Amino acid sequence: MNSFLEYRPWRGSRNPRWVGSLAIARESIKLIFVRKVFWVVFSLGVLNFLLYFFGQYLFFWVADQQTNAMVRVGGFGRANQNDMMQFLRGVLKMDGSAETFRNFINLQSRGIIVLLVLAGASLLGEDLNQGSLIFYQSKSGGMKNYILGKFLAASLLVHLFTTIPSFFLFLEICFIDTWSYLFQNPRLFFGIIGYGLVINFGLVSLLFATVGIFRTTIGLIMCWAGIFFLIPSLCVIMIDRLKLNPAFRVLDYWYCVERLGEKCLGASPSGIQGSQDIPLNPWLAALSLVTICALSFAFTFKIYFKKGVDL
Amino acid sequence: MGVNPVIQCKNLTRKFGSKTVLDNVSFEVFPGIIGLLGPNGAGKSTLIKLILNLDLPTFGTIRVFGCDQVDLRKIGFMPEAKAIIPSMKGFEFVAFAGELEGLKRNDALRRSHEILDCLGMGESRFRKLGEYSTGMIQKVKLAQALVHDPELLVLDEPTAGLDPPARTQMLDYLNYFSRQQGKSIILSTHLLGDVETVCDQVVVLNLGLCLASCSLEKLLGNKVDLFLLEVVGDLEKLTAILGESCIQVQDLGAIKKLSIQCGPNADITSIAEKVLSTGAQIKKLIPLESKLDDAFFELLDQQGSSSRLGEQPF
Repeated sequence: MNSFLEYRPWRGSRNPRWVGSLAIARESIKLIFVRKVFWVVFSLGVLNFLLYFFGQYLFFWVADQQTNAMVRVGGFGRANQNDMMQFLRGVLKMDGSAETFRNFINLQSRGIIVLLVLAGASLLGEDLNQGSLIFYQSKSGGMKNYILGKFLAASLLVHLFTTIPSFFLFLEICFIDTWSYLFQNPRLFFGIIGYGLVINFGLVSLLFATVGIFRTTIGLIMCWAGIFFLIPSLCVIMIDRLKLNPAFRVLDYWYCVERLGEKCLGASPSGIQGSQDIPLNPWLAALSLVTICALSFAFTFKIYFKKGVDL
Repeated sequence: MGVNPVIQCKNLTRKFGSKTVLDNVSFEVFPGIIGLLGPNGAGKSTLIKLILNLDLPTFGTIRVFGCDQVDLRKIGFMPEAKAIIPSMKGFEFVAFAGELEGLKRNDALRRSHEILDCLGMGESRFRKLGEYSTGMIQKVKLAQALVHDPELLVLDEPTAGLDPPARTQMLDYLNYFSRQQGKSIILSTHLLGDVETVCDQVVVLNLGLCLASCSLEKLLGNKVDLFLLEVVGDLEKLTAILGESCIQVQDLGAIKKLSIQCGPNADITSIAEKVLSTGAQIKKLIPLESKLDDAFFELLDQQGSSSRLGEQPF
């Protein structure tokens, strides 16, 4: 009992309640960082980033070096060096245009989908499965802090893969080209933020709702595979084979997210491989996204804020 | 009592659909250790949820420290469920709980070490929670409830799954935090022995009704203690001597075994002294059942018979 003498009452100052959500976000991020799947997906994301980073650099460097001279292209004859580089830059879209950022973010967001589906259960599901929710509920910040903290953690992951590297690519062009690029492309700058936020809300709200239902990684994989692979395939069949109205593409959630991203960046529509190339009206895409987000948040609040929780 | 009640319930009712989990419960409890007793389904967990504002009453009011709106910073809750994050270290988890209660990061860490040290966690606080034994998890759960120095501790089955020494230690902690640190403690448990050991007041619930809310002393009233004595010596002489001070001494028929029924203030030591004064050797002297067991089951029986008669219990 001697150790009891060391107990001292607490008389210090306290943070506002919402600050607790930052602690939740920090600990949630730590939970993800200890998962191997994070480092695998993160490495692939970094590789993709490096591809774009050095790709852009290479094209700008080549553009500086090239002349109008005719060069030999394998056994296919001769081509104008300038035309050839223009062609390659156009095809690979590594020229700092809106399409560059659209392609880059699209690729990165596929990585974040894989990460969230594989690590989402440890981010949120384990609290539901192991009864840890009561730990957060009984604290003064309650479930508001919990939801905010987890949302911040998942959002940070999304932006770590999409918005933040996109800004590095944007800055790279400012450095290797001219700083006027920054002032000539304000839409691109804000478009990157916009697309990041669309992916953020689109994926994180869906994650909250689906983890609330399925709770386990296997359940999440099945559900997200349905949303991101099965439904898009069905949409292609409905529109191309059954010749239904192209507006049915509104059911393809990920296409809607990408369509909105294109709109934010001002990029030309990418279309769907093997499908009729009639882009969906962005307002319809926005409607789809807002509906899914609203339903997901409503469901999330129903699960996490229900009264009469189990102790 | 001349002091403000910690919790006041007035006509507290909680219904889930057609099922009434708490039915018109009214009581007041005062600072100290309050035992919340009742069989499974009595409404204990629902009452705790209402105290913590995790649930809302259908009718009636509940006031904690005189306020309708509970300030959770004044309450520390130790849940019955594991409710831990297995990948976190003990001290990190407690500090995390402190941060959730508004403590600054450095203060929370310092406080976490202090509390865990107080609870005898030593170096084990640097291990991951996933590697902890049940006893250690219970201590960490108590620490996370204490980290922000609340005025009221709500403990749901704090001694569940503990071996006897760990259980005794946990009860010692409760006694210490209540008697020496002035904290009020609500102890929800099935273990009547725990309540009898540490509590000052009890609230007995059954089937959503409050069967009793009073001091432990009052509940026990003039209940008797029953002991089993196994001796080597002269039983007749022993029976005669014990008969002078005990209510009833009964030869159990088995060789050298006596059942001793004593009055409300019986002391096991004085019984032992009397036995030894006869020259007999004690092989075994154990309480057969606690007085609280007796009082608790009597309350349940009374409720059962009054319900059968269609009367309103209490």
